[in-house]
This record gives sequence, C-alpha cells and structure tokens, in this order.
Amino acid sequence: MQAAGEEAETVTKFRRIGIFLTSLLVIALAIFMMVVPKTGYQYVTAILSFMLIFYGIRRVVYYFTLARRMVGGRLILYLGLIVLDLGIFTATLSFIPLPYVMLYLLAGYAFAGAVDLMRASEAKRYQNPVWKFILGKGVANILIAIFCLVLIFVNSTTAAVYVFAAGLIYSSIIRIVSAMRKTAVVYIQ
Amino acid sequence: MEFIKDGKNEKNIRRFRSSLSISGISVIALGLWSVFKSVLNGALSPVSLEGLTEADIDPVLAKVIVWTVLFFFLAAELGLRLFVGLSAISESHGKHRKPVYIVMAMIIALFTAISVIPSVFLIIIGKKYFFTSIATVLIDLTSLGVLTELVISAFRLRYCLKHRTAETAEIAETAEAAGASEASEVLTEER
Amino acid sequence: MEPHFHYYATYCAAYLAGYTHEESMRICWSAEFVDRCTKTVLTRIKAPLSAATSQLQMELMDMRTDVIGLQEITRIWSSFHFLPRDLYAEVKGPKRFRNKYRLLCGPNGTLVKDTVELAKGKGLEAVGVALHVVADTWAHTYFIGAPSLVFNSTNHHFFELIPDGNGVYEEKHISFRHNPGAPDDPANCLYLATLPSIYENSIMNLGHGRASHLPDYSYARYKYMPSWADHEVLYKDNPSDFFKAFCQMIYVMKYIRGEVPEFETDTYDYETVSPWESEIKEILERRQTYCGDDWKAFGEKLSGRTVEPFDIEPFVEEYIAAGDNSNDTVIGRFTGATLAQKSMVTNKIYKSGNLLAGYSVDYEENGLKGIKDYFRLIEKQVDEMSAGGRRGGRDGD
Repeated sequence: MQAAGEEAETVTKFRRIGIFLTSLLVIALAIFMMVVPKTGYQYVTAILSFMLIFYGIRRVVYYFTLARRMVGGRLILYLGLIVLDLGIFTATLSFIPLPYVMLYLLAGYAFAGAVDLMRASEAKRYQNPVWKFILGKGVANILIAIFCLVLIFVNSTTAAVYVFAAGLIYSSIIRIVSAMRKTAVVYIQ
Repeated sequence: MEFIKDGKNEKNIRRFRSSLSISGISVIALGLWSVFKSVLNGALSPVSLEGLTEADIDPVLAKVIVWTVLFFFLAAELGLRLFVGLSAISESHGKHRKPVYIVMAMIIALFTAISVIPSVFLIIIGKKYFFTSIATVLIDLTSLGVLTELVISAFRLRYCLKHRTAETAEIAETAEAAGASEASEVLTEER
Repeated sequence: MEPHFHYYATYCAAYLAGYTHEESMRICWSAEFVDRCTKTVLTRIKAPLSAATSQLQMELMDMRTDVIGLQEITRIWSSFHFLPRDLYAEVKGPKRFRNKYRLLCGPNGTLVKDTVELAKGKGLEAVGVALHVVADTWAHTYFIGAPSLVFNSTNHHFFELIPDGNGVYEEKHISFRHNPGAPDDPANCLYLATLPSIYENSIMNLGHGRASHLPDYSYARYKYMPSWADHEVLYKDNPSDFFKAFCQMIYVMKYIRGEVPEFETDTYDYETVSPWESEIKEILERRQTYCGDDWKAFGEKLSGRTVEPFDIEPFVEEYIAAGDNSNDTVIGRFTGATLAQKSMVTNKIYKSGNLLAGYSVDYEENGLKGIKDYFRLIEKQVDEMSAGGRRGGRDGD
C-alpha cells in the first residue's frame, strides 16, 4: 500500500511535468508567431493540419482500444480515417486562404462564448457569485468572434496570427493550472 | 432486469442490420468526402489543372470544360454511392430491397481496388506525391473495406432472415413477451 | 430514481422501518439532497466543495474532461448514483475497456454492503445518503458513472412494453428528442435525452443521459440494446425493480437501527410491506412522470402527519448561522457522510487497479495527503476516538 501511494505520487508528478513542459513549448511557439507574423501564418496552417492528423490518429486508436466493442463503433474508425486524410491533405496544401482560418477561429470563439453566457445565466439563477466572471468571459469570447468576422473582410494575416496565438497561450495556461489540481483522496479505515 | 435469450440467429440479424447501416452511412460519407476533396483540390491547387490546358484553346473555355467533366464524374460517383448507401440503410431498417445495390457496391469496390494500384506505384517511386499518395491509398483501402463489409453484411443478413422460420420467429416473440411476464412470476416465486 | 421517489417514497420506507415522523423527514430530506448538493450550492454556503454529490448541467459543461476532471466526475457519480456492482468482473478486452466495464452499476454488489455498513451509527443524514445510493443501483443498472460513449450510449433499438391490462404487452418504439423546452411525453413514447456525441468523454455520455429519464420512471418497462453488450437485448422492468428497491430500503434501515444483526445483500423486507403491497404497486405502475402526489398521500396516510415539501433554505440558514460549529448542523453532518462515502468508494475502485476515480491514499500508511476537504474525516475520527476514550474513563470510574 505504501508503494501504491508513492507510485501514485510519482505518476502524478511525471504527468504534471509533461503537461507543464509541453504547455511552455506551445507558449514559446505562440510568442514566436506573434513576433514574426508573416512566418507565423505558415505555422498556423501547419498547426491546423497537425491538429487534424492528430485527431484522426486519436480516433483510430480509440476505436482499437475501446470502440471496437461498441455497437456501431466502426463509424468512429471511418471518421478517424477521413479526418486523418483531411489532415494530410491540408498539410500538402501550400497555402490556406485566410477566410478558412478565420472561420475556424470564429466558430471556436463563438461557441465558447455562447456556452459561457448560458453558464452565467445558470450560475446567477443559483445565486453563485462567480456568474459575473463567467459572463465577462463569455462577452470577451463573443467580441473576439466578431473581431474574427471583421478580419475576414479586412484580410489581415497579422491580426489572424495574433488571435490564433493568443488562443494558444490562453489554453496552455489553463492546462498548466488544471494539471496542478490535487486529485488524491485520503481514505481512513 | 435480464438479458433476453432469443437465440443466435436473432442476435446475428441485429448484428448484420447494424453493420449494414454503418456501411451504408460510411459509403455515403466517403462519397461526400471524395467530392469535397476533389473540389478543394481544384480550388486551392489550381496548378493541378494547368497541365490540362496546354492545348491551343481559350484558357477560360478549357477550365470550363475541365470543371464540367469533373462535375459530371463526381456527380455520377456520388449518385451511385448515395444509391448504394441509402439502399443499405433502408434494408437495415427491415425494408426489402432488390439486390441491384449489392451488385453496384461490388462494381464500385472493383474500381476502387483497381485505383489503388497507381497510388501504390506513386508511393514507391514518386517522391513529389509521396504524402498525397499515402492519403489516397488510405482512403481507397477504407472505401474498399466499407464496400466489402456492406456486401458481406447484406448477404449474411438475407441468409439469417431466410433461416428465420415462422417457428423461430414465434419463439423470439414469445421470449420477448415472456421476458415481461416471467419477471413478475420470478418475483412471486422468490417471495 | 426520480426525485419524488427519493423524497416521498423514502419517507414512506423510513416510517415503515420504524422511524418516527421527524426522523423519517430528516432521512428523506438527506436522500433527496443527494440530487441537489452541487458545487454551486456549497459555494453559496461556503461548505467543502468536495462534498458535492451531484452536478448541474452547466457545471458539467464547464468541467474540463481531462484526466483530473474525469476522475472528479467519476468520483461523484459512481459514489452516489451509479454504484459499481462488481469491481473485479472478468471480461475479455483491453484494460481501458475492462476498467470501464467494472464500473457498471447494479444492485446487490459488495459496495452496497460497504455503503450500508458505513452509514451505521453515523446519524440520520448518513442513512439518507445510503438509501439514495441503494435505490439508484436499481434504477441505473448497466450504466456507468463516468462519461462513456461505449457504455452509456443508446441506439435505435429501444422499445417500451406497455401493458394493456390483460397481461399482454404492446411494444412501441421509443423516440428520444433533444428539445430542453419540451417535457417527456409518455403517451407518444417521446422522451428528452442528451445530445448525441461521438466523443468517449463527452458529458452528454454521462450516466443514463442518452436514455433520458426513462430508467427513473417507475412505470417504465422497456427493452434496449446496450451498446457494449454485443447486440444482446436487455429487458428492464422498473415496477418490479422499484418495488424490490423499496423493500430493500426498509431492510437496510432495520439493519441500521439494529433490528437486523447483519446486513446481507439480495434481501428484502416483503413482510413489512405486504399490507400495502397492492397500493404501492399501483403507484409504481401508474403511467405518470410525476408520482410525488401519490407517494406523499401514501406517506401521510401511514403516519397521519403532513409530509412537508422539500426545502433546503431552513438548513442553509442553520449552517451559515452555526459558523465554526457548522459540522454539527444537518448540512454539516450530511457533508461529513458524503465525504466518507466518496472516500470509501474511491478507495475501493483504486484498490481494484482502476484509476478512473482517481488516487486513494491510505491515511494509516501515507498520512494526510491529497484534497484537503477530506482531512475533515481525520478530525471526525479523532473526535470519535476521544469521545470513546472519555466514555471508557467514566466506565472505569
């Protein structure tokens, strides 16, 4: 039992270090993209295609480790292969037009903003004081989504890189903070 | 609560109906993806069409002809896949369909198998198109697998339904209904 | 189980088990509060957040579904609503599949015994918590208390068996819709379910969300094809199962009161219930989504007293007013019971080699580690040991 407790600590520590290091790398990459936005835009398209490839591979791995036993599980496999193909296809393109990238960012921020507004409404209903913070976050996400829409017409790759990189930095910080949460539960016989 | 024991044949019918439904959906999805990819390729990689306009005709007219021919072939492929997919889904829901769609599926599978060969050849020798060929082979093999599964599921489902005699059907129905009354009888016995 | 069963039916069971009206009210309040005790409520009254026994829809949507988030979700839902039946069940497949398979909820598992024994001697609030957990093992059988597309999703093969009164059942296909504004429509077999999601860890695939509230309706008899069961069809008879749950709850309470020497699973107190069996079964079989009025009327008939509707405000005020002595209030004792239950279930799941509910650190071997809210369990044990020592001293004098 003592070994189990120590093992739990070790595994948790390694996982936290791994998340911390990868998040730092992503933040560094995001800052580099903001410093050199023209080169940064190529990184945006590269990251998008990498995300699609990674997603496709994850779906395929999920099928073989779990969904294979599920009724209708094969759909997961086929979806993964299609997304993998989309990712490889995106990677082979020499250039992705700005509107496609902005639409992707717009959809992400608009969805996050809508969810935050619903959350704020529910938190207020239950008199949870945190509703103001959630409302602020939701409004910020909606404003960024509107900004992305404007950028489609302005056609500024620099601004697109800034929005994308800011999102990477924010999500990396959240990952670091989340990884530091305690998870072990003490048990008394 | 209990699992209903209605026999291996009934279980297989459910299994092959599910498999046929998934294959039907996947055939349509792969067809749509194929069309989408071809259009994206044409729109975002215009260099791929330049070689086709070397003939001494107006470039705009050449592009129109190319896009029209491409549209025709894409529409034909999508139409065939929709027919095969929707028929498979319909049969999985218990409606009897003529075996035409199974024959069409086999034909599409044959053409897909043939189309894999040049892609494999490009992987072996073509450095420039290595990654695109990998992707093409991946999707072609997936498509082949889906069509094969569709054909096999369709045949096996028909076989199971044929051997689902009236007696077996009655047993299955009785077992399902007994599942309801048996539970209450068991409760009374336990007490 | 639906809220009215947890509140009013638990009151009826407690009264039949021999508790007074006031004690039965406390027990049924605690049983119902298990469904209402969310982080939002606990934040409002500044109670330990780890004592949460449920999560609001928006809280769930807000949760990160990373490893830690999933462990937190699993701890809550597996401890209180989807108690695993057999943590050592053998099944062929990869470890990832096996770990989730072992979380399948079901009645009369070893964890039910552990839950009941944990509640003994811990006050009426602990009894209410235990009864909620036991009741839910009957309603939520074959679902798991973790987000899982493979184990919790449903498919087109879903039929309700509606009795025609002559012992014959009509099979009607059930349709699930995703319109939050529209109520369930049993007459047309239309029920509200969560949105379909293809992600394994999506909140939409938590518990029986994909099967809507159907497992909680006492009148429902239905058959469906669980997505993990290799195309087998499962038949669920809620009237029969809920009746067993009711009889088992009475037996549980008699054990906790000391009238039964040892708790055995798969044991039901039919004798106590027999004078009212037909009345209870009539309530269970009535085709209605809200049966609170029927249970309330039955409870008032049993005790001759008014069963007040569920209200948390009096106890919230008591908790806030108590300040440093909040552990001695109703909500204080309730949160103590839920922390103990969660700690126990997490430990059992962890010891079976399954990390889905997170890590459990044995206090006697590793000391105080992990989430601080649970340290209160140490203080409680120290208090109990001190009280036992003082009593021993007095006896010695």
